[in-house]
Amino acid sequence: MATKYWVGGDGNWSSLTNWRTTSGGAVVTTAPGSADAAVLDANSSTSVVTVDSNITIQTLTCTGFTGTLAFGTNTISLNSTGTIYAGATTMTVTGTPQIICTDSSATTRNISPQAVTEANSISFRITAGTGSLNLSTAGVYRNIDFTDGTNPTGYAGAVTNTSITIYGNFKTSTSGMSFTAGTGTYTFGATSGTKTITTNSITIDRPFTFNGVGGTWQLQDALTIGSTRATTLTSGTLDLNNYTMTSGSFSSTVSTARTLAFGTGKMVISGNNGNVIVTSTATNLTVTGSNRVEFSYSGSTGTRSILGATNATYIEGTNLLDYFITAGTDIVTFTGARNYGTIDFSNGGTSTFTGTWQNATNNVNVYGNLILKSGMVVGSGAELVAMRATSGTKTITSASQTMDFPFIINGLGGTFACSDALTLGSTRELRLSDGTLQLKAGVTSTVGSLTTTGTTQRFLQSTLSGTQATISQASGVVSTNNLTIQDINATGGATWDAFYYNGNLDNGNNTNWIFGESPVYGAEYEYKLRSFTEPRRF
Amino acid sequence: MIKIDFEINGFSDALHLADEHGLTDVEIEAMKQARYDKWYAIINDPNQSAIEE
Repeated sequence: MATKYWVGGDGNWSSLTNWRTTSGGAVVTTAPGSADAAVLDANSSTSVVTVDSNITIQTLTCTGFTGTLAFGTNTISLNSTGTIYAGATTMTVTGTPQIICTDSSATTRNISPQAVTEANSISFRITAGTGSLNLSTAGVYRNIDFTDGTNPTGYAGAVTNTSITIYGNFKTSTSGMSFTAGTGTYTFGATSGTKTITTNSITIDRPFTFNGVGGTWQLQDALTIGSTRATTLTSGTLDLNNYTMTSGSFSSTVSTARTLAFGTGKMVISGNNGNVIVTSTATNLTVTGSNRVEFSYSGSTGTRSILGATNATYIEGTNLLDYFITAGTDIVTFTGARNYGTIDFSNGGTSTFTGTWQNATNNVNVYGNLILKSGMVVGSGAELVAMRATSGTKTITSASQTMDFPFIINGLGGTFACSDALTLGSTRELRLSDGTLQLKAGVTSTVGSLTTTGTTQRFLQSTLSGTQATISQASGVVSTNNLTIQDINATGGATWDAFYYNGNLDNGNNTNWIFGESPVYGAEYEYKLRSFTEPRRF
Repeated sequence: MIKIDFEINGFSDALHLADEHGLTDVEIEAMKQARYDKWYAIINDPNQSAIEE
């Protein structure tokens, strides 16, 4: 093998005048071939080296090079092992830069492109080999493709655990390649266009970060990241493209513009014992498509904490995720003073979750459905859960569970329909603030106390017009205001006052409510009283 | 290359095959099922470590 050095200014790679046997030397040699190593270095100066055909060499070293490597539409193939490529942050690349790594042995290869810019990044395709591949830490890549370019087969070794940045597409082979587990983060940083991610059923046990303003990353098949690893969306668009994305946890808590596009796909969170979802600062987060996050951990260890959008950053219908707990015997908590879409422990009846939903340390606001399941444990506590949707009909399913916490209906314009009996703890308040609560027709819902608050008119109904639902309170005096009641049978030991003069309305088919004199009768009564008393003044 | 989208029990994935893959329909269906089985085993492993934060 000979090592050949570029000197003498601009020229084509195939030039017979620009290659030397030593760096900056005088002895002219031919262009490097398949048995040679090529070096562009400080003595190559600011030359523009034009790759004028597809070339094959053993290795390429660009350390210290301050010129330009102009690929055009041609490629450089590296057929050797060891450090096959060393880049430089001082160099520039143009064209469609691609280096193809073709060695098929079991010997280790190192690729060290350095922390170059997106514009100066180079695509690498690793077409073969079973030896480990070390992508140097902090290295920057355009596309990384582990296939032979024509078929899905290609590289079959293990990629070592390092942190790298990828500005282009990412594609694994189907030849049995793997990624060594670890904390080396794969950061996808494109700032324009749509980049594709194809993993061919390989679990990549690394953290993934998507961070490129203007970039879009689109899955081409299911993506599975290790159950202890985080996926972080910092900026750009992560497009699941209708596929299933699985990760230990998901975080997106910044103010930069970013989109999580589900299509018809879903995200499965497999991690446990920690913050499995963090969307605290949801400013400029947009969620589109099916909006489905499932939690699959099936063990009993620890607490899965889900941190929704804070009260200052949530936007209903825009940045709230829907959550489905599908398994586990551990503790799940939706952190308080946060906002959520649907919270569903049933997953359409398929959930095996028998763990505990732990009451939060502050209010939990739900903008979607609230679905409990039998067999789970619903923790008690003083912090309220509020149904807050302001449009459409949301479902409340208790599944024979007692919700031993304050429960609030507070969504102006929203309708909240119970699919079964609603049962609160004997000391817990059902507070009607805004919106319409429809109790399940034909069954008895039980509350510790029914209250109303605020001045807007709200509604208490049955889920089936014309058929009564029953609400029971054991004792005390219920005194509502601004409540329109229809098809509700009040029972239990309480006194059910819903006086007209407090803004309540009897919309019919109610029993055991005390509405008092209607506004019309009240006016007549006042008139009669005045008539009766006037003579007595004389 | 050929891409074949599929969905099994809520798991959505795709096979990427060479143009001349030579696989039978039965073999392709088996590949789909293998993909699903592998994923299902991963997400239902109760012995995993706590997530890293």
